[in-house]
Amino acid sequence: VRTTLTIQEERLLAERAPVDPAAFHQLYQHYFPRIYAYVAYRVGPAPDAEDLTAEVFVKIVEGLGRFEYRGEGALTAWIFRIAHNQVVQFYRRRSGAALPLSLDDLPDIESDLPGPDDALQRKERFERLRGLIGTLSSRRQEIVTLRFFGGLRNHEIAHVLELDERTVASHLCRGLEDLRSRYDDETGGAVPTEKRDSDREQERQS
Amino acid sequence: MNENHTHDKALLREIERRLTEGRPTGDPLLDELAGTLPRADAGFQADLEQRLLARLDIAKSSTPEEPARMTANTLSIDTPTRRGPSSLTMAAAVMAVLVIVGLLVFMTRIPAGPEPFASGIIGIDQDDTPPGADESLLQETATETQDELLLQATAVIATATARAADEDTLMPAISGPLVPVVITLGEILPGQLVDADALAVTWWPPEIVPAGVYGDPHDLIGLYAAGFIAAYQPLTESRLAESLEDIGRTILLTPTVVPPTDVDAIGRTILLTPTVVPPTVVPPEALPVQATPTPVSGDPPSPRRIPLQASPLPPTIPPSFTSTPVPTPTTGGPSG
Repeated sequence: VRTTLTIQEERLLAERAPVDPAAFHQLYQHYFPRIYAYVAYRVGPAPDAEDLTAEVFVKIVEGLGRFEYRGEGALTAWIFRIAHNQVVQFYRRRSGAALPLSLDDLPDIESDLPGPDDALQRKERFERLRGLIGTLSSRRQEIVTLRFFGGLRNHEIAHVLELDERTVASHLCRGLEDLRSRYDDETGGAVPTEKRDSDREQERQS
Repeated sequence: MNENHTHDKALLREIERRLTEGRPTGDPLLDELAGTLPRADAGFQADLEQRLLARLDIAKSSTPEEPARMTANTLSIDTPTRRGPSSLTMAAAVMAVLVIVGLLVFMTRIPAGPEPFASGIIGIDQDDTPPGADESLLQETATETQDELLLQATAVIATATARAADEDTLMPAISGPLVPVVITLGEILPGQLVDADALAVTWWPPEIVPAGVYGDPHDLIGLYAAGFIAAYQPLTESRLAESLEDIGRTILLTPTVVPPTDVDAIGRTILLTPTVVPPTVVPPEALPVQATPTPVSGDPPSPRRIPLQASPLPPTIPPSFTSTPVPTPTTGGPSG
């Protein structure tokens, strides 16, 4: 379950984190998983995701003292704008095409989906989803990853990308439609791989 | 258009519900997107937090004049180009304050009225002197007191300058020909043996050096103060005496060096740093005549030599100037 901060909590974190290690710890615990998940979807390999996440948090530490809280979602938007910029810089720095990834390079995946699956299957699913998202336009890739893996709401995404909230919602919906189409093509219907395999197993047993 | 809008709203609500409640929606795509989250290594997460907290401390301690400039890989703090006042400037300021305070203290000690020095310094008309006062004596005393004041102020300045320039060596802070002058760092009572530890060498311009000063602290070993010597005063021949008899004093006890011993684990006696027991100064009227010190080896009773001959240390080096261990026979140790 994604937790969100109330406006009071967010303001308190923004004000106290630069000077209070306990507040910074709370900020870190709240944002680290979301930043890491967002960055990992955007870049892929775990080492790259760790480097980028570290860079993002260094920037956060650097700028926290100067950050001015300006209303609901401001802290989250500011933090994810830093993450977004670091991802953009990462792709600018990287020259040439991305090398094919082995599953060992991928980060561990946390899953709340029902049904049995092991770490390897989760990594395969992660890579498949990355591949699907990668077929979208860069704008929609950004919006989908910020929404699902960064856990941002539409108005926060609008702040990060400097777009209108309705534009964000529209991109999100259109992007999901595109994804659904490709997803159905890949899975042979609206059935996830793991579920389909278990169904086949049940059919074989019966 | 309306259908699209309605569909979008439903989809957005579905996404929100999936992300906030964490329950599967039945939509495989949404469930996979929301339920497949990369998770960082816990060690990496904890280590990064520690490093960030350390950086946060540095950033917090940086003032606006010293901005912390952090990059992804390094952290550097700009060194401020503007420096504070130099040590010599501070020393000059301290000197000025010391001189002013010294003058004020000295002035407050001068009683108003018929005191000759008061009239000389603060410009009281000589006609105000009480009738019957010896004018030549008053003038002489006033001159002496002014010299004393000048001497004291000069000593303070020279000492402060030397200390500010180099606390360890007390070297001169200004260029030009200077002469070494030994001063005392603390008060010396009349009849008190000069303590070599309380001496310092300062460097004075030749034109202000009083007559009879010492340039080497070793020359003062074994001498006694003929009168009260205030702190930071130059030690001159006229202020010191070679024996207490010269200044009408005597000593009750000869200064002795007591070699402290300790016994180690196997019974050997170990000689530790010698302890000098200073002589006790007693006014002559309080002492019997036969209480004067007795020379050790038939030499004239010079107080300069008595403590040194009684000491196991070389006679020309005071205990405070050496740390050479004194050989001592061991007792009770294992033989051969």
